[in-house]
Formats: sequence, structure tokens, C-alpha cells
Amino acid sequence: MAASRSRAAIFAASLALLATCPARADEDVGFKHGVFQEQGNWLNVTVGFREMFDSALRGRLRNGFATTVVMRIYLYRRDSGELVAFSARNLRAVYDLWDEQYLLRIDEPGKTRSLRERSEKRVVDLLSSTWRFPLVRLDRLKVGVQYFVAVYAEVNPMSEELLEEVRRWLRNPTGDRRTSEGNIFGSFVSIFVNNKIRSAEKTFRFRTQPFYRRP
Amino acid sequence: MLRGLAAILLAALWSFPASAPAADGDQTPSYVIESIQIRGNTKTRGYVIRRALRVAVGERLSVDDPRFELSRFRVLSLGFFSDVRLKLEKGTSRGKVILVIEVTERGTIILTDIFIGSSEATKIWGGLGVAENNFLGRGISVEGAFVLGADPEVERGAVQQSYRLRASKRQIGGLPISFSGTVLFLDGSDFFRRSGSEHSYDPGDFVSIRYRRIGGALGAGFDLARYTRMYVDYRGEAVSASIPAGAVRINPDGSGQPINFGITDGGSILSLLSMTVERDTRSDPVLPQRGSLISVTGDFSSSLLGSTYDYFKLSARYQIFFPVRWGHIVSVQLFGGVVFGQAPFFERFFIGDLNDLVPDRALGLNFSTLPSRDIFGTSIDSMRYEEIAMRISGEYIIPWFRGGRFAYGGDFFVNVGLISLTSRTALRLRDRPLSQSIPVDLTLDAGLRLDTRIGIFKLSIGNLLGRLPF
Repeated sequence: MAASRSRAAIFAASLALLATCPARADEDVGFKHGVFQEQGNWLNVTVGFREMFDSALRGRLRNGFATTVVMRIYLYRRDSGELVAFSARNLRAVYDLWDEQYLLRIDEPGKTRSLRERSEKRVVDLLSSTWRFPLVRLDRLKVGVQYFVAVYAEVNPMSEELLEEVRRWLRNPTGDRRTSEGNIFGSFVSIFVNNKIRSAEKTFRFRTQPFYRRP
Repeated sequence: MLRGLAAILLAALWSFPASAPAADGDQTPSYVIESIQIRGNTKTRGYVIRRALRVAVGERLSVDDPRFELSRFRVLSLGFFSDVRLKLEKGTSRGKVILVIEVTERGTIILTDIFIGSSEATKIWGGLGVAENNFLGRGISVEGAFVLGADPEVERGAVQQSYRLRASKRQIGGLPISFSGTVLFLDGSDFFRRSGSEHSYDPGDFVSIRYRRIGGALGAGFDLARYTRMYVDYRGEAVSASIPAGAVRINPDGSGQPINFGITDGGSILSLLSMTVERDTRSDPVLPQRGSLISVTGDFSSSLLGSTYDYFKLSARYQIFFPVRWGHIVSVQLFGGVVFGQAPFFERFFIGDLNDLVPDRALGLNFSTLPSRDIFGTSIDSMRYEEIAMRISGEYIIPWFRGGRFAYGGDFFVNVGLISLTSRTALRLRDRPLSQSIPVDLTLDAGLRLDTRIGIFKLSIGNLLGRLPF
């Protein structure tokens, strides 16, 4: 009975995660093993999800433009699905064409780091992981209660302004067809573009195994 | 267990501080665009792509400038490419870069219209519209459409046919003005009641007039503001009509009156200027989820323009979409129009264009004798081509899916509304108060809208009923 309630709570929390994130039919909530450590008064989380960077995204890292990853990290109680803590990270990598190295900027709550890196593999690791990331103060975790972490990551999210601008252009890309005459041509364009317009170039979501704090 | 240990081991092996810390401050490189190279376009001319870009040679831009991404979407939005990728390459000296636009071309011939139907008056009609949206690789859209109908069962009726050829271009000579040209040939037979009750659609109760329209239109469109666009068109047509002499409408009580065909017998000229202003803030042109559309059109035909017909036609449309619970959408849609003066019948408001349960016109041709159902008994079944039209409807939309490979989106919808169609004469010559003299009918439609790789499809009750005799 308790196990059933627990599964229901996880299901509810997964639904909550889905509900808070832009929905896409081709995405499922995956599962990743995380490492949870106590350091001082904080619980640190370490988890990697390198597979988010498929070959297409890796290929684009060197195109000279910025690659941005926005990570949202949620901590839930396993039994009730209650959201206990939330944090976010913003990571950006730009390949400097002339110095032939990556310039990274990592924004986390309370601090910003800037790094230079020559290895593409290292850059991918940095952009697709949290390393001893302080997620929640230990005094907010009850001993013996099970928790899990859920992560929602977006690669190159588009700003609302840009999305709006794109949509505005899409409404009348050829400029000749007013809407009162029908939307056939508008449709033609939307047909080939709509599936490429997303709020982010790629999204990735997963949750970790449950864990609990010992006495 | 093993996976957990592997994760712990992996975490222990990582040592992120190995990356060299960079100096504080803004790390975003900015470069001067030395040149722009376009690759992968075998058919599309380079200038067509360059015109869509929002960056230019000589500009110094940060690599995260949103104009790069906007440019990518604008090129993609032309509809000529299945993919567009941007990248920067080193230029001739430090700080200078080459912007490379890599495109993958796709077929640009699409289906724009499918006409097919059947009615008591015309056993079958059908037609097709096809467009090549990147004609000769110059970004010119050329669209051809035709519709043909069987010999109607109506007296004096003849095979109906209509052909339309249209070309348009977004810009000519760098001007931010779109241009379009249309040629029309229409050989029609429209149906006018000569006997029977108003709700009868027996072809034997109708008489046909033959008419022909040959002409064309030239138009231009330009932005007035961010969401507001204006169109100005000139349309000229040579019209010829053959009206049966002495045609009389015999009423059920035996009385008779001359039929007003609303067209000049013999040859005439239609020459008009049309102006449309529209503001469109909808989130999507095909399957909108929020935003609104307002459109106002005025058509002015006058002897000053060489026209045989003096009239002014004003029509306005408003639609608003807003999300409600469960991701569903509610839309309110209004339409109103009025014609002042003597417009030819085909320029007036037609019942089939207002009521979803009556076949609408295909390329300007009407193939049916079906009247409005007159559910409220307000004599709207006697109205066909009239001067005053209104429609108010509400639509409930249930989004089904987004992002498929063939069908990019689908919405279920239910639309219920009221329509009104009348003439000034009918309102003037009435035996009841004005409020009881306005012909009103119910219109409804329900079905599925699909935005697909080969066009928009609307599978609905109205569509079905409009294409079958009943």
C-alpha cells in the first residue's frame, strides 16, 4: 500500500515536472543516477547527462555562435511529490575562432565563473552535468525521508521576443497574401518551419534515483 | 547498483577545476562580418536569401546577437529550404569573420486548393490549385487553380469553369513592398429562383443566367506597424452576361415579380480599387492559440474608374483566441459587411460564404441551389446574394498534437454561430418591426483541422454537408 502511494507520488511529481516544462510528444522523462553528498550545511548533487549533446549539437559547438544551456534542478519528496527546493544554472560556451578555444561562462546562484577550455569533450561535460552543485541546505531535509532530483535542461532557449519576431514574420513571409483570402500560403510556410520553431533547440529531462538522509 | 557505483566513480574522476579560469568581464566575442557566403543553394538565387537576412557585411556583431537566429528563421520561413544552418569562419584578419549560410533546398510545389463537391443542381464539380513558390529560384510565387463543373440541371445552365493564375513577390528592387498580379477567367451559370417555395432547392425551380468574367488584379502590400499591414489592389474585369428576357419569379400564391439578376445584360466593365488594413497578433497563422486578427476591407467601384457599377463594399472581420483550462482554446469570431450602391451579384455577400452548412463558392463559382436552412423561420432561405451580412460565432478548440513529421499540428474544433443576410430593400419593405425582420440562421461546424506537409486540411461536418446534396 505504501509502495503504491509512493509510486503515485513519483508519478504526480513527474507530471508536475512535465506540466512546468514545455511539452513535446517526443520527449520522455529519463532516469539518471546521481551522486548526493553532504558538504558543510549543504547537499551537493553530481549528475551527468552527456547524451544530451548529440552529434548535431556537438558539431554546432564550433560554429562560432554561443551555445547556451539552461538547467532547472528540482528536489522533490518521494512520498508526497512536494517540491522541496529549486535551483537553476545558466551555462554558455562560445568558440573563439581566432584563439581556437572555448570561452565558458557559468552562472549559478550567488556566483559566476568564466573559464577557457580547448577540449570539446570537456566543454560537453561542463555543459551537461552538475558537479557537486549545492542544491539545498541540509536542515531542510528530514532524516529518513526519501527525495529525488529532477532536471530540465534546455539547449539554446529562444527569448520570447525572438519567438514573437519569428512568429510575426511567419504570419506573412511572402507579404502578398492577406489573411482574409485564406491561409494557404501562410500554411505552406508554417508547414516547413513550425516544426523547427521551438522554445529551445533541444530539451532534456530526467530524474534521479531516490535517496535519503541518514541520522 | 552497478550503475550507481559507476556514477559515483565517474563523479570522483571528474575534476572540473582543471579548466583554466578566464579573466572576468564579458567573454562574448564580437566580430566584423567581412563577407556572407551562401552554400547549398542550387536553384534559389543568392539575393533571395540575402534579402531575408537581418545582418549585413561590415557590421560588428556579438556572436549571441539575436539577429543571427532571427536571420536563420527568416531564411527558413521563405519556405524554400528544409534546413538552414549558420556558422562563422575566420576572415582575412583577426576580428573579421565570414558568415556562412548553409541551406538544404526542398521542393516548393504545393497543393493550394482542392475543390470537389456535388449538389442537386450540379452532379459533380472539381478542381485543383497548385503553386510553385520559388519560381526560377527567384522567390516568386506562381499559383494556378481551376475548377470545372458538370452541366447543371437548371434551365439555361451550362458547364461552369473558372481559372486563376497568380504571381507574387515579396520585394522588388529592395523596396519593402510586396507585389502581386492575378489573371482570372470565369465562365459561369448562376442560379436564380423563379418558382417554388423559398426553402426548395429543386433545380426545376431555378433559372440560370450565363455570365463571363475576364480580367485581373494588381496589388501591393506593406507594413504599417509591427503587426499591421496594408494592401492596395486594383481590379479590372470585362463582364458579359446573358439574361433571359422577361424572367419572372412566380410566388407560391401565384403572384409574380421580375427577377433582379444583379448584373448588366450584355457587356459591362468592373473596375475597382480595394484597400485592406489588417492587424494580426495571432500566435500561429494556421492553428492559433492566442492573439487576435482584425481586418477591414473597402472596395470602391465607380464610373470614375471606368466601371459600369457604382458601389462601395465595406467588410470587417475580427477573431480573438485565448487559452482556457486544460490547454483548450476559445475563439470569438465576428464578421460584418455592407454594400452601398449597385454591385454585381457576384460581388455581394453570398449565403454559402457565411453559412457552413451551404456550399461555398469555388474560384467564384456557385454550383448549388441550396438555401440556408432557416431554422428560426426568419425567411433567410430567400437570401442568396445580398447587401448586408453578419456572422457571430464562437469556437471551442481542443489541440490534438503538435510537431509530427508529416502532419505538423492538428486541432479538433466546434463552431456554433448565428448568421444574418439581407438587403436594404427587404428591410425597407417589411410588415413587421425591424427586430423581427432580420433574417437569422444557425450555422455550425465541427471537425478536425490539420496542418500537414502537403497543405491544410479541414475535415468537418460542414465540409461534408457542403459537398453533398441533402
